[in-house]
Amino acid sequence: MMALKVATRDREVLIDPLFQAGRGFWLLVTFLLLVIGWGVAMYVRQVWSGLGVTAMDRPAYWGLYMVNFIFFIGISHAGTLISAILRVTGAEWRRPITRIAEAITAFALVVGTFQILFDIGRPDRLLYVFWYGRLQSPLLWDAFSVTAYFLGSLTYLYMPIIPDAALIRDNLPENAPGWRKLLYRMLALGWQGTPTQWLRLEKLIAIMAVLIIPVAVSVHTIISWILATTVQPGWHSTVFGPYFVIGAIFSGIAALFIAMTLARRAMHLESYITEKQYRNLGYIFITMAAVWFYFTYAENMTSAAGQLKEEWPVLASKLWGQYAATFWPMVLLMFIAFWVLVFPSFASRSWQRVPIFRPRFALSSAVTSALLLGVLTIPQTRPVLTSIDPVVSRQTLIVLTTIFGFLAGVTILPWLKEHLVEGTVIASACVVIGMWLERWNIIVPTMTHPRLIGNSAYAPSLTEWSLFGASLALFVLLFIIFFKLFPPVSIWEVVEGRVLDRAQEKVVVPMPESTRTPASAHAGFGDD
Amino acid sequence: MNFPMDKPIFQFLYWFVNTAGNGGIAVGVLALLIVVFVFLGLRWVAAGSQSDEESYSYPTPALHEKH
Repeated sequence: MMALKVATRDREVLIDPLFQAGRGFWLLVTFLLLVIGWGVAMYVRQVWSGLGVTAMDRPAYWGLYMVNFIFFIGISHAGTLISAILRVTGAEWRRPITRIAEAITAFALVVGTFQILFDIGRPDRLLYVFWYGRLQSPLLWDAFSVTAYFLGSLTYLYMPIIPDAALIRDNLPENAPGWRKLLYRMLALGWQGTPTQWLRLEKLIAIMAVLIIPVAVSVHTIISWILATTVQPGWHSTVFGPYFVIGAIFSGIAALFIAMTLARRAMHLESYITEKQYRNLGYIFITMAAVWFYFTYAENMTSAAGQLKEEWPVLASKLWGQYAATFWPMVLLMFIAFWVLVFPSFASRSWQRVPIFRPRFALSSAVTSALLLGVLTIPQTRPVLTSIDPVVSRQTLIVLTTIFGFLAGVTILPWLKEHLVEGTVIASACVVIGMWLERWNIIVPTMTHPRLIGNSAYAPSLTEWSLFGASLALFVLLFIIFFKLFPPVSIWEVVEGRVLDRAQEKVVVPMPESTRTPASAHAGFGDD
Repeated sequence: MNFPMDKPIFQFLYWFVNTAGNGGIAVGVLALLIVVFVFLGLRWVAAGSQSDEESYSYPTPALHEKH
């Protein structure tokens, strides 16, 4: 059997680091394990004592766990859906980022499913979904679609790993432990890279890519139906299905940007994941941001226009009531993300000659704006200066906050234009936090404003926050362990892309024919 | 107009969607189908190594056109 070859550069960057672990890696793993350990302890306490240790009580039966469930399942759309869409449409630039995207999907689904386990209290009750599940229940549809998505995503992640596992098997460093040799031999499934195998594998991947897209769309649509098929105020909405799917893809792309940047920095993948991936995926990201704003407006506008006596308190609590503190930061974060992604392209390099277009000026303006906003929103027990009219001082503060915020946004533009990667990560962080807040704003205000019981409050307990922290830690831990076992970039796909790029460079594309040339001579019109 | 529950098709559908346990069976059947599909697909790919052909570390469209 001939050993499969890999270029020295690819081996040094993508294979050899899999067998080296520095002190930083072990420190991170230890820290994550400690956080997970704390979460496990809190979960055991919850199982022992019951759901009374959480803040969930009548009428808010769903809280942080449900928010996290929808959030993590949304993040899972990063991968398989985006990767599948790009693969089906033949987007060549996808090659270096597909594996990271697919890994996010698999791990976010695992962590997302844990949230249900936390939420139901007694874990054995999860089996009731299967023992007593009826096909008319959206909870059952959810189990149906998440099962299909998880199995499909796992397969879709594994298939492109087969040739890479064979490449690692045939190019193992000398210090590779025995169990790793066995692992890659098993996962490679006897792969030899024959034309028949390549043809079959690529056919199978293409079939999976096509099948996974509707399954992915169904997953978040059905999660929205868990809410929308009830008559709870604010949830009984036809727009929830597409709204959730868009939000999921939006947060998924943001998570992908953060993950691929971390992998790029930590594993020195700058020559693989280039600005091309950031720019092209950024276009999709901007589109999703615009569509998300459209759906958010559509969803809230119809509630505002209807002014139904059950729905109106929910919306009012978000606009100026107890949940304004989570609603408006969500809007602000999404606006900042949109600004950071779109407006740097309007900035000119010549702006940098003006001294105020510096990050430090932008930062000081942003801090000033934030401080003024704090003064505006923190309730004042007594006026600072009795001689100033409170209305005038409030209006002055609003104007100053806006001016300093705008200054911060404008003066940072040249820096953002020069730092595409950093800018994209800033926007992504805003979107991830904003989307978590969006899930909160959908679940909690409705739960605390039901039809029959008066307004109530919900603030998560230490148990719930601990399990949230542990879930995040588990997600990161799964991610880093996976990329200690497998290359973060699909080696064979990247090499194929490189060969195709080189071939394309040799192609000379002719100039278009002038309009002065007779139409009959236009090769482009198919008349040659 | 009342729903035509006297028709067997609607009686069957009513039983199908409302009977406890049918949902679990449906999820189980789906999971089984996916696992079988994946298993057969992977076996099909692995069986491709038995042919007496050249080995390639990566494919290109030309490889597929040639074979």
